[in-house]
Amino acid sequence: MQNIQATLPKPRPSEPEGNVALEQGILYVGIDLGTSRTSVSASNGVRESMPSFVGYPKDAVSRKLLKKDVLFGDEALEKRLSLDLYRPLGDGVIKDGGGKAESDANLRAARDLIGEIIRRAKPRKDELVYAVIGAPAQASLHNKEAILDVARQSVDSVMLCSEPFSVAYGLDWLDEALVIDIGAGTTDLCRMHGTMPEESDQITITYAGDYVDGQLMQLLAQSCKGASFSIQMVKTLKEKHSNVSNIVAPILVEFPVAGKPTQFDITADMLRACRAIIPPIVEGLGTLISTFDPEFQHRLKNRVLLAGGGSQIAGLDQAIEAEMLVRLGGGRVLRIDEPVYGGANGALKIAHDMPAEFWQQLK
Amino acid sequence: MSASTYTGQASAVALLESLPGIGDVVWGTIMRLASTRVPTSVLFTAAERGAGTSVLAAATAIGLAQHQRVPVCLIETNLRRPALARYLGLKQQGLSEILDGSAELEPCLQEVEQCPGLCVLPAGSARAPVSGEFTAERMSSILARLEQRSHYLVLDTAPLLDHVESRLLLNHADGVLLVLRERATRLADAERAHEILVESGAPVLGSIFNACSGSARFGGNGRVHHAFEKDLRERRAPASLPAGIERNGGTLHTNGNGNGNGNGNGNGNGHGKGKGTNGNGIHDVEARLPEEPVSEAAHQHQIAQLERRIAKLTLLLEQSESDLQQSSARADGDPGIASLYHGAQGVAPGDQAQAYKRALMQDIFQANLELKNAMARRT
Repeated sequence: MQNIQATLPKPRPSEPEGNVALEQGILYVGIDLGTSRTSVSASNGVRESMPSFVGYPKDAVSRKLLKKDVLFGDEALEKRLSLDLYRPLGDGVIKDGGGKAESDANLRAARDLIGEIIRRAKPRKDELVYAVIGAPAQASLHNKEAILDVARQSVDSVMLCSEPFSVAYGLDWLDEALVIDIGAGTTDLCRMHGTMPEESDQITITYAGDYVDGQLMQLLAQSCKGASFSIQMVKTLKEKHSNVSNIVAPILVEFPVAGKPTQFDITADMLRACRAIIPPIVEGLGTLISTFDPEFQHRLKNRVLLAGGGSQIAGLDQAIEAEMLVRLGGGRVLRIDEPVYGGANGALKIAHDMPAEFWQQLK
Repeated sequence: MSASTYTGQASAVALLESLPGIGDVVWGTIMRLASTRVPTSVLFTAAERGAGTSVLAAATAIGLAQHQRVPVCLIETNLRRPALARYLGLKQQGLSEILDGSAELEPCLQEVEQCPGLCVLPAGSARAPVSGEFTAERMSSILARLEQRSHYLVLDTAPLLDHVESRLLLNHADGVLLVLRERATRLADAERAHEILVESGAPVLGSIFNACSGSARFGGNGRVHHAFEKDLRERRAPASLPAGIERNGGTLHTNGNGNGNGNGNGNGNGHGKGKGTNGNGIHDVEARLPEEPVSEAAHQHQIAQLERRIAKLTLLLEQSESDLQQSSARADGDPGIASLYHGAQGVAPGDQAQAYKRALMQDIFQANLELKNAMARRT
């Protein structure tokens, strides 16, 4: 596994540029604020990842029982029956629908989530915290502002950057490369060609982790007659058994039928649900490739990076290659070593490389 | 019938029994009346609400039952503002339900465990009396049945000036006691109440000058005494009254510090010293009895007001806690792990793509600066 600390340069005296005399400790933080998981990589070696769930005790009794005012991640999921549970990010941005009360609640949850992920980065009180947050490639201005607004309450200075760009930057794949960043809500496709990606270089589609969950839920409802299961159970099964390979061991699971645990073979359903995202992804790649300089299109096709939590579907890289062969005449897909931390590592590297004066100006 | 039991009942009975002035003067007056007529019905009324009628009626009934050891029935007829059930810890069902036909007399009659011989008919659910129901056959029947089983029937009625229906009960009383309250009852109201009693021909035993401080004079002057005495002397005592008791009952002070101005000799107003008990008298007793319930609307208003306050305070508390947690998370507890970097970094000078990366950083910064400016403009 790749160690992010190894990818960061050794410390050196602070930059003289901008007449910014900073000899204070600075904790650089890279955050991948995802719909499903939020990850952080920090310049003190800390890396943390947690499900993007925030829960508040439903009443005074729950609060007394849980002994906490707010719970995060796995703990929030585990105690969700006693909580008002929020997944504040939808499609990679802070949810803004459902009326003012819900919008405010999501903002509060997002603020607490960012505060928590920063806390888990273990900053020292005498250090400045500079953070770069990966946002979906095509997040709206309003959404970006909302993220910045809540993040500023937890750090000293903060910047946003495109998620797929941060993945590519972290791996130094800045030229003639395609990045596939499969999240829960969206899949970002980004074309890197030596400059900052522009809008025409990025495609965001909603064929991502949540789409697979929905497909699998529907298929299981048809094939597992009488079984009861929730979307959270389906999500857990997907994280454990997701696969698109032709050769796969039978996936046998137990669902309760009228209260009695009953075994089902969900292999075919799992393959079908996971494979559902491949055609639209390859179609998006085809769009980015076909609109690129024809002279360099073959180089793009052979430098495709697969990142994000959704890239952990077994055999996905090979399946995309197979689909590219059919649709685009070939291609080479590389899965990054740490899909969960790919975005956060890249954001950390951007934070590190950002000149001091820029941080100062954005405070 | 089973006696109600509540923790405050014993103390309430003890409080009422020990009410200063009651034992010395009021019981004595009523007992003398009872020497010629059994059963004897005594009616307590007031000029206006808040005079302490219910407390004094209950105290009298308890005292008679405790010390005479005869059956006493206390009946509360103030349907608008029931109080006895609350004071004595009894169930609320009572006269109101009997009169509207939803309950029978026997189940509504309640014994007071701490006071053998006393049975109470509370007013029941609060409501406005139906016109004429106190003169109806059903009411007469209730009173007749209660008289059959009692040596004393003590009627606690609504204030005369506020509630006309109370006047209808005057005919059922062998003796009437008018309760006045120092610094509360206005002189004009007291005089009007007295006039009503006189006009109705009710046998007035006297007035109880409640919560008297002794030094203070009723209504700011002493005219009320004079008016009572003068008017009452002009009336002829009914034949049924026992010798030695005139309609002019004088004024019975219920505060231990006051003068017991009891009329007991039939030759005018015999002024005797009241028993000077210590303590705060009626004030103390009333303060220690259960409080009067507020109306449903007022209660709901209070609840809504308190809920709004609680919500506001909760919001402030949450905000404060959140701020505190954020600051304490960085200031206290976990000291954190030091960053590799002590000072700002930037693209490493030896990086082959230094210029290119610096240009990229410039682009990212520029985009974020525009965002920041856009936000600033908006705010």
